[in-house]
Amino acid sequence: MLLGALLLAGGGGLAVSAAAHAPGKPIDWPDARGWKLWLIALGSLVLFVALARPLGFLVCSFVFVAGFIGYFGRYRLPVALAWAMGVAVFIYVVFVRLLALTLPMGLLDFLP
Amino acid sequence: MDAWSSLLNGFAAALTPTNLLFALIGSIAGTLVGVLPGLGPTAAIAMLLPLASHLDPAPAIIMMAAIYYGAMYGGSTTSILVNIPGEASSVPTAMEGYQLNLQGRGGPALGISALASFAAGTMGVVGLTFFAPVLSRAALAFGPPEYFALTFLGLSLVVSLSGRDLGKGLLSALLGLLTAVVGLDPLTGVARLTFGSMELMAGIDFVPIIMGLFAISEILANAEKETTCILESRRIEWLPTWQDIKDTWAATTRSGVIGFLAGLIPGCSPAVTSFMVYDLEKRLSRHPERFGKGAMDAVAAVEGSNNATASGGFVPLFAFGIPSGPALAVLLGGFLMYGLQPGPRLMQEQPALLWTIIASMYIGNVMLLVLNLPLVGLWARMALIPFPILGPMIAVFTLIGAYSLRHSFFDLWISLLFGVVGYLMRKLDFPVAPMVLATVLAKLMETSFMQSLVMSKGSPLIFFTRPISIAFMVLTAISVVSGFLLRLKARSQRVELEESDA
Repeated sequence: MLLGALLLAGGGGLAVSAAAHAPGKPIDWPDARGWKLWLIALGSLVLFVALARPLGFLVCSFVFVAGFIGYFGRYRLPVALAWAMGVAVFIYVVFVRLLALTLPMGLLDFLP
Repeated sequence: MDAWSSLLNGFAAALTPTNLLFALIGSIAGTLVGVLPGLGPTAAIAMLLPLASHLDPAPAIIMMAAIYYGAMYGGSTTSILVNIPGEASSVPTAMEGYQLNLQGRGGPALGISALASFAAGTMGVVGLTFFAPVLSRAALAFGPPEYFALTFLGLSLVVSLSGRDLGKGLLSALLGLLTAVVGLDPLTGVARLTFGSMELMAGIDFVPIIMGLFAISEILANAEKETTCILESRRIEWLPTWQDIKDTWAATTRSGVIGFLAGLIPGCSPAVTSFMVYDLEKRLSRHPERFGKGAMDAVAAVEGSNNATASGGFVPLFAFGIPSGPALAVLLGGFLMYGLQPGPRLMQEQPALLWTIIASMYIGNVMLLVLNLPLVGLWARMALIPFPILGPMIAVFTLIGAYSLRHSFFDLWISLLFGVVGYLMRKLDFPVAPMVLATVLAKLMETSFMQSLVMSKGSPLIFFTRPISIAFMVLTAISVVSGFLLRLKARSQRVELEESDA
């Protein structure tokens, strides 16, 4: 009730201030290509979270990092794979072994 | 002087090789968990509890305490370099420090935050050494009405955190309060806005929200622009200059005092203090226009206050056995494992142990400074990594951090959702800080508000009849009014500026 009243007041205030002010700087929306890249970035993050349970964090991180570097950075495949491998090994050594976090391992469940 | 001789004995005990080694291990581990986003000192201390059972009490508790205050040093690193505040208390650091990093001044910002952490942290330990018994009594005077008045004061900062448009700032704060409403009512246990979902019943934790608002939205914004490198300028400075230190020492000292005093209050988290000192520095600063575009004194104040609050939190712990936050609660568990119950009796029965721990905190702060300053150059170089390589790494570490908090995939979806929310807020020019502040404060605010009303049988007069509470209420009124006046002044200046341009 109170929250609703405050929301109304805030919305009303915003409407009034919008009407009173001269138009400010235009919103900097991306162009069509920007939207495509934006959607690909968000989509890959969604895929990462969706697949983290069945495949495991390590596999997902590897694929995600390699794909991101390859697609957005246009690096050659071996470079992307090397970075991805580095990230996966770092996660395993630091998070899983050293800090003993229980991450879902999925396909790599056999690792100690 | 009683404290002096006790402290000297404490130093003698803390300087033994074993105790030094464990202070060092704790400092390194604390820096590490502070740097890794999402992993906090609470989890790190909890993970080390079983290991500590093989040790004597003194080295074990020295190590766990060092993890706690060490994490405060590391927390600034990712905020400044990649705009991921690991904890809520580093959010203002990210707002200013990341801007500095984009200007190539990431190195000095990191150096200043290490120096401020050291200076204010040491001030906090000095306060702990000499004023603990006197000040600890004040902490006990805090009941629900005082807590509500304190959070109310915190929320009033929205006026000055809102940037150019107050309406947008208020809406942003309301959105933050709204997310905190989701879950069970803290007093009656009624489910609110859960739509029958089990996950929503537990409420939305603020860490995944912060991760989404900052890290994920940063990745989305950069992906769309095809950023190749996050640095705007090619010129990079590594270490702070004398000028930087001269510009920031006043802010550091002020925030050290405020941070320590706030740390005395159980339940007053470093996040609350860091927003308060940020706001205070903005008002006192001779160049308030720099705030939001990279203000070095803000970085110093916020990082200093974190560390002073961390040291201050040991006062109620040692004096009464009251932990002022989750991390200190786990540390209390460490004491209990050895059959030690912190409180007035421990101070009389085991003074040597307590003074050893206090002395080790002086040593630990020096170690942390020595550890962190040389690392600054190394960390600052991270800004040179091209975005297509840095971006996915930020994403992966953020998501692991958000997951590890509650082992919940639901939290990951929350992070992504708030990543999109944060992206839209950025584009539509909504300030993020009020929302973070509201999410962090909401739980304590609501609980203490309801408890106060139960105490007073429903009369809101209770907030104006108790001395500490009314003092906070007056401060709130001053904060709001002066915030409006500053806002009007800034607006008229801006209008003049625009007219002179035309």
